[in-house]
Amino acid sequence: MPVPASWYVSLSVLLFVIGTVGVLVSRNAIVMLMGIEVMLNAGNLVLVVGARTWGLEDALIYTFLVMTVAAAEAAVGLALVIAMFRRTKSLDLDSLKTLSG
Amino acid sequence: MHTFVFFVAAGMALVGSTLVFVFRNTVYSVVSLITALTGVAVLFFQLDAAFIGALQIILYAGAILVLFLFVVMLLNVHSDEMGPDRRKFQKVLAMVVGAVLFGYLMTLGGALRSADPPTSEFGSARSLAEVFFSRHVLAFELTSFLLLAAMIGAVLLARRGEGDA
Repeated sequence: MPVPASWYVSLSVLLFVIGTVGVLVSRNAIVMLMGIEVMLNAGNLVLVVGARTWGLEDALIYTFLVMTVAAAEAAVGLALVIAMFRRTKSLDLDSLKTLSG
Repeated sequence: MHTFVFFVAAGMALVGSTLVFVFRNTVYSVVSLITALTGVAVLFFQLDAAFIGALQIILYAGAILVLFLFVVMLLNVHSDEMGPDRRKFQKVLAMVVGAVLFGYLMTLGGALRSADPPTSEFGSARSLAEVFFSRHVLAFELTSFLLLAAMIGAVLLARRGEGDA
């Protein structure tokens, strides 16, 4: 591996932090879901780097499973966004305040 | 050459995923997320995980983000309807959380060190299938149930209820 493994890990940490901060600062529900996708991808990158470093193919299987979970999460999350949009006519998560006394 | 490809792909991933949260137009955000995920796919190819890289492009860029784009266009919300942005102290707080998380994760990442290059079969669809359908066959079966449950749940949630028009 001509590029050191630690570079990939650092990149993945950066991607994860970008996703976290993005989820925290955005108000748009769809953009928040995309932030979760970025975080899942950062995790996938670390799994692949670990698989390559130690020659363990099981980690690649976990990557595959994470992708499947991401697909399921995106489908259910977007369905929730559609249901929320029908109710509040807005994508802003702050518009869901029925429970805030 | 490897280093150059790494920096180009890493730049695509970093810039793309940052721009997701910068654009006000959600369609632009989706397209820049596609750029970021393609960059990560290039890194997968570079790490000899060709099958996972192909899956990344087909599944993520091809399926999941098309779903996102579909929903964005279905709802057709203009960015100026979103109201004012988050308050300043919330943004500052998010940056602080990000900085702390970055510092913590970087201390964990130091344990990795390079090992011997893997066999030529590493990461191919054939050897992945051998691992998947022998040791992880239960996970495979459970995954199909997960997808079925997600599909039924998505249809139920997105269905028009009796009450609303």
